[in-house]
Amino acid sequence: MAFGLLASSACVLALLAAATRGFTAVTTDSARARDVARTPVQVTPIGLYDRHGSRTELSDPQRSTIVDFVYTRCLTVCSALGGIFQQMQTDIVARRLDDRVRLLSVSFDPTWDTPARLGSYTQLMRANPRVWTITTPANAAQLPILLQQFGVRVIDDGMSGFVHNAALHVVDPSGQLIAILPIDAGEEAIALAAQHARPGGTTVATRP
Amino acid sequence: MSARGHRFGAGIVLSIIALLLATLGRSWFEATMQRHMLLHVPLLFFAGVAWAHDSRRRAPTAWNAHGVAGLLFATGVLMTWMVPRALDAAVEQPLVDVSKAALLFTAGALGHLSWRRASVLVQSFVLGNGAWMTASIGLMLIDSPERLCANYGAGDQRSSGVALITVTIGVIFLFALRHVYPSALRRSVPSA
Repeated sequence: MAFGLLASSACVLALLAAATRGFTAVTTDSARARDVARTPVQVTPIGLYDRHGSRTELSDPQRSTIVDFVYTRCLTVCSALGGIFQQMQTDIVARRLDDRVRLLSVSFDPTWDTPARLGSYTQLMRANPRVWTITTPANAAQLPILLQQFGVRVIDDGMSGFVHNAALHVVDPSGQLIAILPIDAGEEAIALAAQHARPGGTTVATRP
Repeated sequence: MSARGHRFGAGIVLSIIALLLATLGRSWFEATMQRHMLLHVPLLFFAGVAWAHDSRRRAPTAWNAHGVAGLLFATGVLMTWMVPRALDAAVEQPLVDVSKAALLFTAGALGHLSWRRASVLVQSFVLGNGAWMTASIGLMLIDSPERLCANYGAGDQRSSGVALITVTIGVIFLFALRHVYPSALRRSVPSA
């Protein structure tokens, strides 16, 4: 008689453990963040265009990169993200971390977000080109790979816009995605990014 | 009547129709959180219930005394498909979606057979706890400032929460109408 109960309880426990990744995460995003924190992911180097139409990369050989994903027509999450990146830009400059940390916004709407349109967005955001680069994928066909690697899901909101998850993705100089942090963890993201930077040459030696 | 105490009746027909609907309409059902949680999951569960309805056999008693083990399993399966991460996985991975269907069907069938064996006391216990669980998840969906499912929007999430709570209240109401209210009436009749 107790066997049935035991078997049933074991089934339920196993199911719930599978659904919550061993009782650690209820959402897909938090499970992904835990995975990345434990085992960093090597990010495929995908070419990006900045507002001048010149190629840039996802990672920088000396600085860590904090990446977010946006589309410039967005009025909801992206505006919040824009404000957060502005604040982080101010912090990075004030703490003289601009040789260790950079900010990178990547558009997931390359059809609309051409380099020219990124220009006006860059002005609107008052992005300091030394710290914050706003980009769009050079090859739209590579976008799904990029989103998949970063765990970003973009869904149609039915009103010609998108619904998407927002986070701060920290990529170290070797191109490893080492952390996915919530958007209100800007300070933590900067600290982590600075810690993993490899500032070369003379710049770091002269810093106090 | 087919072998092993199972007859081919309306229940099996309904069950097959439900399974066909759930399979063919998969993308429609899973397009919004509301349809996924409140139509797709119940439909698959119902397919199992309808299938078991035609069974003449009572649920095996040796391991399923008072239907408790079976009801525990059914509740656990339903609870699993309220975890946002599980819903996302069902949308994104066909294999998970097939497991979802198989589990919910089994849970429905086993749940139905066990429900028949359970006393009203056991039924109330299971339903009460299930209601508490469902309503809590409903409140979480309404109240959460962030989107919990990567595949569904915030508005969808809130309305799913409201719908979950509404369904919970409805089920409790029906159960009370069926059991608590008539017995209260019966008790009051002789004393009157």
